[in-house]
Amino acid sequence: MIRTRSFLFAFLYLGVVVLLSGCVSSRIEQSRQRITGLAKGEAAVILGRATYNDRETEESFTTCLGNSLITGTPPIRVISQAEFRDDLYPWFEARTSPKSASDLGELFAQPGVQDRIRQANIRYLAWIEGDTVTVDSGGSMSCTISTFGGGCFGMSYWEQDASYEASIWDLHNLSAAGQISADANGTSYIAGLIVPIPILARPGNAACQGLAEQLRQFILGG
Amino acid sequence: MDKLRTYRNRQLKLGSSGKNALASRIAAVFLVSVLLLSACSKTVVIQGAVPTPLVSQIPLRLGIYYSDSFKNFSYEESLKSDGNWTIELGQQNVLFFRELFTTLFLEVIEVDQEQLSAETIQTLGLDGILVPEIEEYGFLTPGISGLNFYSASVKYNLRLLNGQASVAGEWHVVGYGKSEGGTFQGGEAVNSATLLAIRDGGARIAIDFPRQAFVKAFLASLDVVSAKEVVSDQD
Repeated sequence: MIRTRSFLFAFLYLGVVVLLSGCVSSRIEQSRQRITGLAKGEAAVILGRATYNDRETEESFTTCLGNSLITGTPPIRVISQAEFRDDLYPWFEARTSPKSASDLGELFAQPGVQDRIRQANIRYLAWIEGDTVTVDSGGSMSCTISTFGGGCFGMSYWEQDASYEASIWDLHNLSAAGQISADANGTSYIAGLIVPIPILARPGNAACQGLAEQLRQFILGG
Repeated sequence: MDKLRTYRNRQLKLGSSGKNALASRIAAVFLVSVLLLSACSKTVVIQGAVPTPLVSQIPLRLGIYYSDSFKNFSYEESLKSDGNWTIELGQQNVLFFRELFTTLFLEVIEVDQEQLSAETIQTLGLDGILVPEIEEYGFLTPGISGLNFYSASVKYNLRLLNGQASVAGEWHVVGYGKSEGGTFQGGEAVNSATLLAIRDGGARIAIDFPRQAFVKAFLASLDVVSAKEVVSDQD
């Protein structure tokens, strides 16, 4: 009897988890220009490309990528964006950072830059461009609260599209090593049945996990 | 008689619980009012990292004058959609510029007045005086811009006085920064955007100050080094 009940609970829990996570479809593509590899102790830096227009790579995305590379198997040593930018100030600010790998030679000619990068043993720079945007939304839901209680009724949805590209630069050869792109799309829902029940798709997270895994293989040369 | 006594007891009990309820309501209304009022006004004291720039040193011995208006610069704005804001960036800016100028110039001395005589400048062994000022500051919230982030800009004026205490040149620099921020993270996002604006302004000063025509002419007049040499180091 107890066993049957625990099975029932497990089944219900699984059902709720499945219901609460929406569907996400994702696609990862890669183009390699150079043979890559990472020696012991060498590190990578993940940098979000800052622009002055109305769109910018979210800091949470680059943090997610960095954490996935540090904690995955095998782990990769990643130097944080803030630490790297402070160490090499003013050469990696929004307005002064190199726009392409061909600018690296000029940057390395600046006093102290090459030494600072060698000391930190940084082999790769990965520039992340892209963002997650809501492309469609609809439905309606209203919630009321009164002295007799409250509740929500209706349904709303929103579709998000996450599109990111990583450009990887090899700082040993001062050249571009390749690009990886990740696209993910998913629709989230909130159904109001007295209690609002969210069914969330997280395309940004899916793009982060997919890109991190591909980036790891790319850097390690697998 | 017993019924009457019970009724009086009930009345007494109701009376005391009624007073308690009234006091609780007043306290709740007071608390909510305080919370609402504090939510409408925000004071942001800008704080953050002060990086040491990695640039070629300009062979100049300069006195730096930070005016009181620069040191205590704060900006106040009342926004219909986002309440009252006070942003204090003077102190952080002084810390940032101290580090910047100490690294950028061969020698730096902080002076307590802008108008030093030519004799004093020579006695102190200085080539000139640099006076940084904040001319304008501004910020935008998502409520105003309609974008998903907070942004800030700082317009600086750098005035260089030569050894004769006359103006050798002036340069206006604008620093810009932006930061993501959620509904209840406005203060944090304005801090971050303002820090980025200060960094951006500082980066421009570090790289572009020696490239300014009046700075090149000033260096050439001192004959300490060829202006071309300093500028080519940072090209």
